Amino acid sequence: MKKMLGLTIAALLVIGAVSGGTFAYFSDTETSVSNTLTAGTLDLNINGGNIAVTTFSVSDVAPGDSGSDNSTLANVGSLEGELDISTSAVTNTPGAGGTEYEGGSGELGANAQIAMYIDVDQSSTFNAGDIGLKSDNTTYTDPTPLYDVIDNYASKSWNATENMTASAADYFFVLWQVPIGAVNDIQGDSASVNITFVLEQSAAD
Amino acid sequence: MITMRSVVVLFLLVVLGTTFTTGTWALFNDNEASTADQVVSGTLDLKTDDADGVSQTLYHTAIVPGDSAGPGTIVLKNAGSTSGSSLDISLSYVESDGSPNTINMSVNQTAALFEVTTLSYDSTDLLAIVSDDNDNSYIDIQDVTNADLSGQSGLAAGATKNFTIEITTDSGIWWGYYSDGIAITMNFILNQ
Repeated sequence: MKKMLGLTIAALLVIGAVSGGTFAYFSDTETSVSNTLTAGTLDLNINGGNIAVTTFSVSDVAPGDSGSDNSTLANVGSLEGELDISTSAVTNTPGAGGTEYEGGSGELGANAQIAMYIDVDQSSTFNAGDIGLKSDNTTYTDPTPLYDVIDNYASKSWNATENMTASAADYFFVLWQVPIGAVNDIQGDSASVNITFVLEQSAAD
Repeated sequence: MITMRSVVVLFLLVVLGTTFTTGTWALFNDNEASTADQVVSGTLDLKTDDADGVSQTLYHTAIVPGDSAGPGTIVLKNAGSTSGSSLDISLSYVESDGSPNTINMSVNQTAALFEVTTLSYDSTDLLAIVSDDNDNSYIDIQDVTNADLSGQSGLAAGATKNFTIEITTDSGIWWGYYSDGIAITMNFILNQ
């Protein structure tokens, strides 16, 4: 009788163990994947990089000389941005060693003239659709470059000159000329100005 | 005097008698069949937008300050035959940067950038049970992934309930994020 009781308990334990394994609770799992959030980028390159470049540098210029130089601006980010342009103060330096015509403080900036424009279609000519920068902080589209003396371009700014879409690229041109009527005081002088380009999120002004 | 013949005759009689008795006195029985008896287990079948798994509930790959993504809604349905007593919700994320990634912010910094403005299930505001773990003054994706969102109301067989999420970014800050991104996975577990 004792043996039978033992067997019965053992059988019940086995049944209990089997039952526990069989009747696990149901559950079902589903997921939502590929939920992606990524910050956009505004990344302006000049001549393919992020470091300052010299857009124009001329030497030994004389009355009657003229020329042009350009840099390439490119929006290599993922967002469209507004292009803001500004200039620093103009630094005039008198000719080293001086000449009998030296006025003392450097007069090239008051005599040499420049015109600046954004060559949107990269045609290397100022034509319809390009954006000129006047020395009064305004822009113009008339396809005739408007020159002014370098000194008058000191500390100017042109905000939201254009919207540059992602992957867009433009040339930035500086045209220069030294009028025939320039005085001898400019001999040996130099004038320099920094131009800053900022690409910012649209409507950030 | 019992002869051999008598023994043989007696044996035959016994055999015949046994055979006769067996044929005559069989017990009554009647067999009937019960067919198609079966035990079928119930089903607990969670569907997301009527499918087993969805993608891109939230998707925005060119976010600028002030941008929002969503609201994105997933319709959760118990397409099974058994009621689910509770629903567990959890979110996780991994880094998913784009290019150019000029300054690589950490995955947690990026998750903290995205403020969660809507997080609801069955009209229950889940934001109320999420705490600002990273102390940036708003509830963000990082906070939500740290929160315990299990034990939400279940789904009866055939029932549906909506899960909704929306994020935004602060327009008033310079954020320094360049193509930094995250990929979020949302998990839903329907329990019996």
